[in-house]
Amino acid sequence: MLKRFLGVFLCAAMVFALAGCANTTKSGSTQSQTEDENKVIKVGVLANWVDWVKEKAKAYEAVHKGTKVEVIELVNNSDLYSKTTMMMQSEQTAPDVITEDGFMVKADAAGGYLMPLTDVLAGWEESKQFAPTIMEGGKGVDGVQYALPLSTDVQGIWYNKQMFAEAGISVPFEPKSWNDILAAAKKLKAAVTTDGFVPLYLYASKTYPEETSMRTFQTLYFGTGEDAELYDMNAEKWVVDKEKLLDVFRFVDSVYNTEKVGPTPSFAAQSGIADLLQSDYMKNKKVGMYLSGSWESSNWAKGKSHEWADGLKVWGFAKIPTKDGETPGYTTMSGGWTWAIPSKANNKEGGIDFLKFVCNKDNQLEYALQTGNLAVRNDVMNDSSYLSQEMAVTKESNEMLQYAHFRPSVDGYSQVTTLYTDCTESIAIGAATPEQAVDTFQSELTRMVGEDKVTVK
Amino acid sequence: MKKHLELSLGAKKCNMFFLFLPSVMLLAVFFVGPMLLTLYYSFTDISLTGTNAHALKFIGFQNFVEIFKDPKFKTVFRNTMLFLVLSGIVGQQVFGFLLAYLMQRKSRTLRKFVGFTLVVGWITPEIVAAFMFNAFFADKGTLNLIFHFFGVSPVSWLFTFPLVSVIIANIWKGSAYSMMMFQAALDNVSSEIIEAARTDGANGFQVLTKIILPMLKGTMTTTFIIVTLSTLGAFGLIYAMTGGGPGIRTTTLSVYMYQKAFATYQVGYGMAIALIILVVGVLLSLIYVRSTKSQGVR
Repeated sequence: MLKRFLGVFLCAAMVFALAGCANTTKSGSTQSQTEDENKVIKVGVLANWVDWVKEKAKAYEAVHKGTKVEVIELVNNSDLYSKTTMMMQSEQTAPDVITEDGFMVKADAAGGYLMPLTDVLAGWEESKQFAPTIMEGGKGVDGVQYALPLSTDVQGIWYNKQMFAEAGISVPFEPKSWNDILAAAKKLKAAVTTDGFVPLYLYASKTYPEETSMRTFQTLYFGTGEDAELYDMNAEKWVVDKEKLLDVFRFVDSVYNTEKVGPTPSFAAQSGIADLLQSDYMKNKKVGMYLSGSWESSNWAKGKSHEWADGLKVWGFAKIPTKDGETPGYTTMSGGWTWAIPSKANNKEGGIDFLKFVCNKDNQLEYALQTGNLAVRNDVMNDSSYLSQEMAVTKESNEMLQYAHFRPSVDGYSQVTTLYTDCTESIAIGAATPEQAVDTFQSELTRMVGEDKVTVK
Repeated sequence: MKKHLELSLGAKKCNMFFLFLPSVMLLAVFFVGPMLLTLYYSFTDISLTGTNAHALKFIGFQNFVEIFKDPKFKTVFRNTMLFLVLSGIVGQQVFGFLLAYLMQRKSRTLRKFVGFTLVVGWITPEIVAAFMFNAFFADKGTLNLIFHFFGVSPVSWLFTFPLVSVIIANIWKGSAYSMMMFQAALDNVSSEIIEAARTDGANGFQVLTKIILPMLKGTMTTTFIIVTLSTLGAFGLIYAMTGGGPGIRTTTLSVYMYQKAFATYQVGYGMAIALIILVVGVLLSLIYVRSTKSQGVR
């Protein structure tokens, strides 16, 4: 009797275990459930800005009684982009509004993950404040606006003014060619004998895929000449320009191998580099130059994680020159983040409403001041408090914007960008010579996108 | 008097069917289903984002052709085999067996201590183990500290010998399983046979090779297969320690599959690699089973 009872009980237990696989879709939900959902807005935000967005969430909840804003943190590591895309793939996990890195917009829009914002923007007066050129960064391949720009930025050379003076390099640092940068790095290396000192920090590791691709490879590539292009928009083909590639790879080779003015490859591959540099190396004279974005100083501001009142007294931000100073003289890359509404969001209205709230003038101004990113709204760009920020290199960055290039974020970019990183890294770790890297670049690119989508120069 | 329910054969079979149903359904949904989906998707160009995310096309064997044409594939495959043989077969099993064999007649305390130490490694979560070894092999890590103490100059382990570091980490992590399996099997070897062999003049080595090892054939096959399959699929430890780097020096098939599917969004390609891992695993298992059968195990 007991045996039989046990048998039946175990079978039932197994069946109940199957209930664990239940799908909690909203299909067939009751009226009260739908009402509950409309009271929750899920906001997916990059970890760097999660604290600020949480403040905004509270402010929004205070104005909209009864609505709850749930902030979901997107951790900023090398898996960020695939995680974001996967989150948007299902109704259960898709937030109602999400921060989307500008270069992913075209791909995610083509994948059907983003909701078109045309109607939303048509009915929103404030949308006129967004500069048209910047709005391009949120458009899909079909020209439809899928994302609203949140910020933009530029890349430059952070340099330690004190160490430069001590090493006998003239300040302000205004390199006119890549050789000028190398010369300064060599002088720093000779002047500083501390163990582990990094004269020039240049991203070149798979641990930082997009940083390496964008801040190092693409920035330098567009500095090889006015006609440099990675993707031919007219012919719709990816470009293999061997001369220009060699120029870029030879520079990386000089930094890492010939002149050895870069970080050791194992140092460059460890995680948390940005934090390490901002909180320790830049403060304690352990690094001389750092090729990175305009926002790096923002964490030194009052109340931020690595508060350092003397930050911009010690560090300057220089324009990156073209290889030999050829027109237009300087090069930089403009990234930029956007807000988007996932097409599988449950509470689109809530998401849109929060979007309008967080992108209004006051909040955008606050965001720009807090993060050190460049503004995208005309009214913010002309605001006096924006222009007179303490721990931001707004003036220098604005001067660089005219030389900015953008990532060729067309279909296939998500693959090709890993090739840029791989080739750059292979040089840094000494696994390939510049010539070998160029060959690999050509063969791999052809393999990735197909021979008919590649043009070789 | 107890009542017995005399079921007819048909009713018995019906009973069996329904009792098996829950487990079969679970296996179908969580094992067979995904395998079939993987098989299907590996013949398409499905990707995580972009147009191919929803407008995927059937491309036949193209993914597989691409894999074999991929210049990185040879290195990745070689890394996988080296990792498998050195950490799985040689490392975990030989090490596990030696420990089990040597612990046989030692004191209980020693057995407990060694057993405990090894099992701690086994139950440590992969990520924790990965960070531990990262700290151990780091440029300013424990191993270099020890080297420094003895006046030997430090080595950048994770950069110069990445595969060796990862292999050592995996041996530490998994040996417990082999040791426990062999311990149990050795306990089952009757001491009378061994005594008989000794009286016949066999020395320790002959006893080991001619008597004990043949008796352990079954256990050996089982552990070989299980260790091989789990080492082939080892991902977390390697990825968290070196990320597959530097370059592709520690990229095994599973790390490569992850990179292709989630870093470059080519899910179809990644699935094709997954299928290759599966095939390699099945082939190796078949080889093990055949080789032990052919030696005439009763």
